Amino acid sequence: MSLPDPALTQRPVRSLRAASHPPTGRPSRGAGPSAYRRRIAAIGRLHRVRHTVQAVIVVLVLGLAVRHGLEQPGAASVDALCPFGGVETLWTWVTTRSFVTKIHPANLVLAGLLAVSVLVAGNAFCGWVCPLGSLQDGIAWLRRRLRLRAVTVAPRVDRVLRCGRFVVLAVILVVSAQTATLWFAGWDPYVTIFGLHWLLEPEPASMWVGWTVALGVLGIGLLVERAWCRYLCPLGGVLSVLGHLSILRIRRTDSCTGCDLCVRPCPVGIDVGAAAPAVSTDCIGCLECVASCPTGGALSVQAGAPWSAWRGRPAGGGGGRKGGPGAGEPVPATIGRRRPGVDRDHATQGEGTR
Amino acid sequence: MSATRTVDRWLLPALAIVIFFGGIGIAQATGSFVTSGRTMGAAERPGGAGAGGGSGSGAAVAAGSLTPESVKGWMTVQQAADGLGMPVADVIALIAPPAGVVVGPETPLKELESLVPGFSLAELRARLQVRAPAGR
Repeated sequence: MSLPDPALTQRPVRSLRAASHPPTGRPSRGAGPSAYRRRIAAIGRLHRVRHTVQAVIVVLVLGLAVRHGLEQPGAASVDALCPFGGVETLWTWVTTRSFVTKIHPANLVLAGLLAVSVLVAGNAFCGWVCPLGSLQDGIAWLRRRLRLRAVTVAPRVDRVLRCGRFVVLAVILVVSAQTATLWFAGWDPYVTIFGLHWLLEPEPASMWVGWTVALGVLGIGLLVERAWCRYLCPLGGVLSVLGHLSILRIRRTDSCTGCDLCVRPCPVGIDVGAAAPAVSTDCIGCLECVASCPTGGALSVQAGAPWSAWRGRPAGGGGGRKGGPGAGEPVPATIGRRRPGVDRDHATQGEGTR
Repeated sequence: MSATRTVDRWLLPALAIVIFFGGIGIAQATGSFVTSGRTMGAAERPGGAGAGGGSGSGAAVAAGSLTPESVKGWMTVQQAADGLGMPVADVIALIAPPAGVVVGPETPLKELESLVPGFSLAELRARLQVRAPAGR
């Protein structure tokens, strides 16, 4: 189930070729044929490992859904395997010690574990574990294979749309608390797709809303990579707030030359090149930017007190776009930007800029 | 200024995965990872009726062991009635099936949504809350 590796076969080769001659004219540390091959190998290794992990988890969840659909005794439903269920039932559980319908203690366990995971390692759950995120990565791969252009979202619009996650989250929490039901399940693309009811016991009359939302999410994902994660995922909203307390963060250092090759591979459109010093908490920890960086140590995973990421810039003033847009994080303005000398290579591949 | 330290990049996903799945393993080992009301019901049943993790619809539910909130979709009408200490006929009356729809003691509550128009488990629980014997 591991996805083929377009970035290895096409994108990075061109990108990294450009990386050996960054637009600044400064030679990048580690430039040269052997460094170039090392980066290609690193990107390929990252893709193989990440997509394998994602595929294994997707298969695992689908297997459990089939077991549940076949009514195996004790088989868990996908509702019971979603950390967001723990968030949905939290208010009901705290106030009444009971759960909203279809939610079980496992959901609280998963939510707690995810919270700990985020506090330690950021939102890597989204980039490595979440089945819906994996599916969207597959959709993005399909878009590249079909050579469809990505839709350009203006930076200002992108910034506003990202607030959609919090709107969705607020609505779900309020309605779930008021009704003590898993109100969102009928809309949730994760439940719709991975619950496999559409396959095992389809009931169009009662499921059409979920099907419409799921198809919409997949369709939009074909145009904007991980659109659900960026703009609508309520769990992503929770994690992006919690991510401010993470110990491990990807940080930009003063060796950054500002080539911006880290920006393009980011599946959630973060302006990694403007990180000051830590990248946005919208980061899903996929490590694409780190692997793509042609300058040794300019982007790295660093451990530190959470508040070390709240300060201004990389020590020493930072390279690259000093004091770039916002000079802080998050800077969701990357979609649609095209930088002369940087995106030129990307544009030749029939793919829109991010 | 707070110090940061560069670590191996693989530590980021590795820790996330280990914490998440390791935690699930520990929760499973300690019996905290309950993913099904069926399992939960079995574990909570006095005397361990149906113990063994989900004996399902054929299991007996000890009389008076349920509250309206703990009625689950996997239970049959009979099990819910037994658990609540109510006659089956009373539970069926609260379900209020329309004419022509047969709801029997062995009908799982989760199937009622497709049998009885407008039925919801939450609504049944609310009706049971009003009807159930005092003291529950």
